[in-house]
Amino acid sequence: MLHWIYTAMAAWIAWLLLEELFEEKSWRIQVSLVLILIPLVLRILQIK
Amino acid sequence: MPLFPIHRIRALLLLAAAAAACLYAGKEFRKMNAPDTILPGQGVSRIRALKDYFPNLEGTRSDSAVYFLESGRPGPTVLVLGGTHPNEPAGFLAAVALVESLRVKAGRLIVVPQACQSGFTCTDPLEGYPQSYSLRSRSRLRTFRFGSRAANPVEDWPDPIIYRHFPSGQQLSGNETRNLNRAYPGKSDGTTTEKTAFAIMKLIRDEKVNLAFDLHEAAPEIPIINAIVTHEKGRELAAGALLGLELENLPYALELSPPNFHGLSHREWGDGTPAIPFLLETTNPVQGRLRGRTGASLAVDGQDRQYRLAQESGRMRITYDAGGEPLARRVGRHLRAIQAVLETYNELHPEGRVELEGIPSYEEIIRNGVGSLLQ
Ligand SMILES: [Zn+2]
Repeated sequence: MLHWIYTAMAAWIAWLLLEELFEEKSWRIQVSLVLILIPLVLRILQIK
Repeated sequence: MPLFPIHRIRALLLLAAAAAACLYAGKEFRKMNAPDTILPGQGVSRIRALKDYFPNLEGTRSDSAVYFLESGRPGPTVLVLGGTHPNEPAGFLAAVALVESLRVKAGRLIVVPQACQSGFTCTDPLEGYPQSYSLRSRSRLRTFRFGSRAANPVEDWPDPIIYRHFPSGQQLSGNETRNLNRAYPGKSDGTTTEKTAFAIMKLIRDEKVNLAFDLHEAAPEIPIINAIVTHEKGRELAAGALLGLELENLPYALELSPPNFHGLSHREWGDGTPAIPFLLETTNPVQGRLRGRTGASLAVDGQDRQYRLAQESGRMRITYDAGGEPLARRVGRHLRAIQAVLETYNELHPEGRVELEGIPSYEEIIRNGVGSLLQ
């Protein structure tokens, strides 16, 4: 159960990051957002 | 405002880069789940698995191969466990060397090279450990995983804040929940690590093991290095072995298992089964807090500038040779120490000896490298 709550949280945060990524104008912040996205994607896909 | 302003195009490009990074990282993670190749030598008579002793482990990350090297002649049963801590490669490789090169002439040997199989599927966070290391064996290039000290956290995530040992109630920090060498005697309905410990205790009892070895390494600054740790039952054998090793210029310290420190192999195997346990330690710079850059070559060659400087300064009590601490030396020590204990056993039990063949001498292992022990 905890596992799925965690996965759902990761998916939610990833979605927020994606929204932010397309609205953000500063390239530095965009790079940071994408870096944060990588581990979350790996977790949502159950790889990491 | 255009449909695709520059910052959105940049977002798409960055997403593509992130996808590529995910693909690469994902592949690297997956690699850790691919089992290591161990090539049983002619001495291996059958191969079982931990699940044969405790069926609950079937299909889990913790099930692990159990190799039997049987002479068919009477003599004691000896168990050798490698990979209790998968970030201690010399313990694992010494066990693999026995599976691949040893022939038993009297008595029998049971070898579990990856006791904590689950710990081979991940590395420790924040340590910068290599994921694998390679060495040239007698016939090819062999690659082995470099794992984590403890079982994979996905098994029983999350760790409790405090680990309570069963059955003593002893309290340790939460991450020790996944440490196989704090989990004995284990628990059939416990965590994955407790189940693994339970299976190993059952193996020791079912196979009527007489002498049991648990192979380890530790950071160069840890005082218990080049040491034989044993239960009260093993004092005489360990002392005899120590003298023999001393004569071969392989100094060892003898440590007695603290009676009140629970969960360790040298305590619980001795208390809970008829076996006499021995835990062997060598030095492993990869585990050290002083180490510099940590890569596969540090695991194999054991050469670290920071440890050399510390050694030269003379201000630290560390076990580190100026020329480095290569795997050949550490694996050689493990194999010699096992043999020395068994030689002492043979002297005390001339009626039921264990006789081994096919392990090169310590000098030969140093000369020809650790790969010479592998097929
Ligand atoms: Zn260890």
